[in-house]
Amino acid sequence: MEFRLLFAALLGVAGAELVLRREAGRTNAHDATPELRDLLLFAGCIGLLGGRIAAMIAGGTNPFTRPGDIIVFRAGVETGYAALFALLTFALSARKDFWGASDAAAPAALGGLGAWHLSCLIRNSCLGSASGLPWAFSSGASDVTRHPIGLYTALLFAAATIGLIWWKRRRHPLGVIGAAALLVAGAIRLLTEPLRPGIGSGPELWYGAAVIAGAGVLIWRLRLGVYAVPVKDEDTHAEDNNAEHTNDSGTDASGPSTAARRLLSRLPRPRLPWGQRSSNP
Amino acid sequence: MLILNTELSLFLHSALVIRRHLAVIVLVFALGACSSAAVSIDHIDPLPEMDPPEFYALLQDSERPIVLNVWASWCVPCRSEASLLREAAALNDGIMFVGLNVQDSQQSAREFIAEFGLTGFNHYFDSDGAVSGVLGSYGVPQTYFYAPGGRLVHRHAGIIDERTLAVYVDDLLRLED
Repeated sequence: MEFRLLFAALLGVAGAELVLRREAGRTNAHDATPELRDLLLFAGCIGLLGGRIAAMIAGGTNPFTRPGDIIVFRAGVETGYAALFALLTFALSARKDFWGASDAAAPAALGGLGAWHLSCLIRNSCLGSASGLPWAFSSGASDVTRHPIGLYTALLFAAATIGLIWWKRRRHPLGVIGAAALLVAGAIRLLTEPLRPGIGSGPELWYGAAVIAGAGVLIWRLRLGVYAVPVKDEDTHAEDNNAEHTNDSGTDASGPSTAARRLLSRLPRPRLPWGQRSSNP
Repeated sequence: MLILNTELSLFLHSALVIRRHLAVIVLVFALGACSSAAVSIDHIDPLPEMDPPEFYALLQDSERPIVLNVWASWCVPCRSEASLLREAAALNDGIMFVGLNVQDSQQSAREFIAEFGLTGFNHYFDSDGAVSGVLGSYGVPQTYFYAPGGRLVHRHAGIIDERTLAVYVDDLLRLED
C-alpha cells in the first residue's frame, strides 16, 4: 500500500492546525478554533473531491461509470478546480460571516499549504527544473541536478503565513487578510510554476485568476474601510457575567432567559465567533 | 418555543447549505457523463506477445530513451494514469513509450487502449507475466524509465503523478542530449 500521499495530507492538516492553535486567543477567539477547523477541513475535502472529479473528466474518465476512481486521489487533482470548489464551499458555509471567517482562517490555510508542499520530502516530489546551483540535487540514477522547488514553495508559504499573522495582529479592514491570502497563494504558485516541469498546459491561468481576484477584493475591502475590532476573551467573559447578573430574575425584556441563553450557547451557531466584529472607523 | 424556533432555523440553514453543495456536485457528475471512448476498438490491432529475450533486445537496440508502463485493464490506478501517459507520449516524440499489458485478455486490453486513446504507445502482451517477472515488477501500474541502450534511470511503483512523470521524462531527454 502507498501511504505517502495520506501522510502528506495529514502534514498539511497539521500545519493548518498548528497555526489555528497558535492564533487561538490571539487573533481568533478561543472558542472559534473547532469551528474554523471544521470549516477548513470541510472546504478542503469538497475542494479535493471537486478537483478529483474535474481531473477525471479532463482525463476522459466518466465519474458515473467509474465512481471507484474518484477516491484514487493519487491519480491527479485539478488544482484550479479544487481551489475553486474549496473557496465556494467555504463561502457558502460561512456566508453570513464570510469576511471575518476568511480573515480568521486565511493564515491557517496558508500554513496548511506550506506544510503540504514540505511533504514533497515524503512523497519524493521536491524536484523541479534542472539547475547547477549548489543546493540543487538529483534523484534515482540520473545525474541531472534540479531545483528543490517543493521546498522553495513551502518556505514562501511559511513566510506568507508569518506575514499574514503579523498583519492580522494589527488594525486592518475586515476581509483584507483573506483577500491577501488568495493573492499571495496565487502569486507564490505563479512565481514557482516556471521551475516545475509539467505535461501539457499548466494551471498558470488559475493562479493568475487567483492573483487578480485577490488583488481586486483586497483593494475593494481597503477602500471600503470596514475595520475588524478584535474581541478580547475578557470582554466576552465580562459580557457573559453581566448577562447572568442582569438576568437573575430569569427574564429579560431584551432577550431570552438565562437558562435559554445557556442552552442556546450549546447549539451550533449560524453566526460564527471568529473573534472579530465589524465597526466603521 | 424560542429554542425550537432556533433549532428549526439552524436545521433549515444546514439543509440549504447541504442542498447547494449537492447541486454543485451533481452538476460536475452530469458534466462527467459527457465523456466517451477516444478511439474505436476497430482501429486497435491485437497486441503482439512479448517474452523476456525480446524485451531485452528492445531495450538494448533502442536508440531512443524508453518509458515502459506495465498495466492491466482491470487495474483501477492504471485507468487513472492512462490519460496522463497518453498526453506525455503525444508531447515527447524523442521518447519511445511502451505499454506492457500483463495478465489480461486481448479484448479487454484493446478496449482499454481504445477508451483512453493510447495509440501513441507500442503495446505488448505479457499474458503470463514473464516479462514483468524478470523486471521484478510486483503489481500494476509500474513505470520504468530507460536511457538508450537499456540503462534503468528511474523506476516508479504505483500511480505516477504529473510532476514526477515530467521530471523523469525531462531526465531522459537530457540524457539524450
